[in-house]
Amino acid sequence: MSKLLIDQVGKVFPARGKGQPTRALMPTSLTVADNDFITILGPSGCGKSTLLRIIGGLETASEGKILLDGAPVTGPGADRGFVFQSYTLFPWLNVAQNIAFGLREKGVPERERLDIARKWAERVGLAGFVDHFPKQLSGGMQQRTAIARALANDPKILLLDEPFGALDNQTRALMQEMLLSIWEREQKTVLFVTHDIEEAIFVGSRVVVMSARPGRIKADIAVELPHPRPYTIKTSPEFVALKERLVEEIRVEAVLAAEGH
Amino acid sequence: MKPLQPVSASARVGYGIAFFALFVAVWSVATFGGYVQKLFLADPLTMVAEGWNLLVNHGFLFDIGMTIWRVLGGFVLAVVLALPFGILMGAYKAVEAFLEPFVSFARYLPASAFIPLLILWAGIGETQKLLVIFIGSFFQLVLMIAVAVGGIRRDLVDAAYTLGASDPSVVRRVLLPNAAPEIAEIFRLVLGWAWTYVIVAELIGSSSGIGHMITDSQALLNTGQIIFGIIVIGLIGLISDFLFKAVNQRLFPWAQA
Repeated sequence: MSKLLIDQVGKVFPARGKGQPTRALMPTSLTVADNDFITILGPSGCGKSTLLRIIGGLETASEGKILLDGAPVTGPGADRGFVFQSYTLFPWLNVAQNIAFGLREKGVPERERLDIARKWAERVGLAGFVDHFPKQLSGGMQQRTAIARALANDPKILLLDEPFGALDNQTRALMQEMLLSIWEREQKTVLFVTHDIEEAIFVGSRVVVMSARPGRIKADIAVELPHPRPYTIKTSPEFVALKERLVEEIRVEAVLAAEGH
Repeated sequence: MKPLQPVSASARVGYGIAFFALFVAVWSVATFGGYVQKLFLADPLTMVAEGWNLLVNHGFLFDIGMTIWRVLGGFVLAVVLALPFGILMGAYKAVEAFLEPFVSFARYLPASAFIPLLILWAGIGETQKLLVIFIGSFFQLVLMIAVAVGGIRRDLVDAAYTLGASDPSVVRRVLLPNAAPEIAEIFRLVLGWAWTYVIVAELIGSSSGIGHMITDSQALLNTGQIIFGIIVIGLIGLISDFLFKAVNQRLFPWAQA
């Protein structure tokens, strides 16, 4: 069944001063099945983040509609967890309080909130850090907390906007494994935006490739790799073949994007 | 010296004290060396003796107490009223558009220029002193608090919304805690300004307070007492500054660099 239905959603940013209005996203349609893990891959500025922000309710679409479980999306809400590329933990709250932020908003009693927060801190490998403030954490730990914070709310769908984009390569690889193992265990519907081809294949069940601005979907490729996926899968022939294909798809777009600027 | 290279904590204290010592030394040379007439500037020892005389024989502690109470009274009044205005202006752009132009204009009205008017309205009692400090602090506080509240990273607000926060929650649970350390810092700053207003208020139409003592001493050409009064103000400012910093560090450990 379809969990999320994106129907002809487009975005035009209004003109600034005497300039022309900018179209960031062509009318785009996408159907996301329950428990699917979709990665949206594209060059910078292709509108993939805009699409994700529209689904998250942080931007309004210029046209089209989005249905989550049949209900139209009108603004941000707790049913769609969002993880940003920038570090967005609340600096005045410790790790446990950050994870429990949304639960408090729902009126969950304090003891239960902290129990859930501890459980999630443990799942992302931060059991010993619940009392730490964000400034005491590394970038990777902050993003793990951000993922735990989004999941503690038990959203219907998890939206990730280049969540590991600011991390170094080693940390990034570990984070991908962590996210994948959580998904394999929890079975969540996930939309994951990235410009990293390897990342898109490794974590995704389906890779949606977007074209250069104005963005539209130019390919939708199933990733037929078994689960659970160990990191060694990145060197398997199937993985490498898929990567080669996607490199080709993305390269064309990157060239177009570069020429357009 | 390398630019921006940090110094150790002990060296820092040492340098700080060294300047005070240098200051007193220059002052001593100027007065004891006879370069400046006693009539215009008392020497450090005379100043200390006059200060002792003030404290023991002239009830100067009462004056100090009066001045502190006026500063705190007027300042607390200003804070209590400025907080809601500042928060609303910072959080809601329509309120900001409504109030900001007037408040920006009002902050440049010099508090001391209101003294004659305030004497007319409120007499020369305590109300007038409190009002001078209130006028001097309130508009500054409102504007600075509004900037602190409104100056939040947009993605923190976005994150709160995606976690299901309502509009009032975003103000209460995100904008306010985010701005709290900066607001505390604003209080520290504006309290310092309030000290300058209170003395001006006391120079005119007052029968007690440090400013009153200073005008009396001027009539007697007692520069030792005047300087002692000024130094007392400086010391109280230093102490309150120190207390504020200590309290802020305790309250907002997450905001310390």
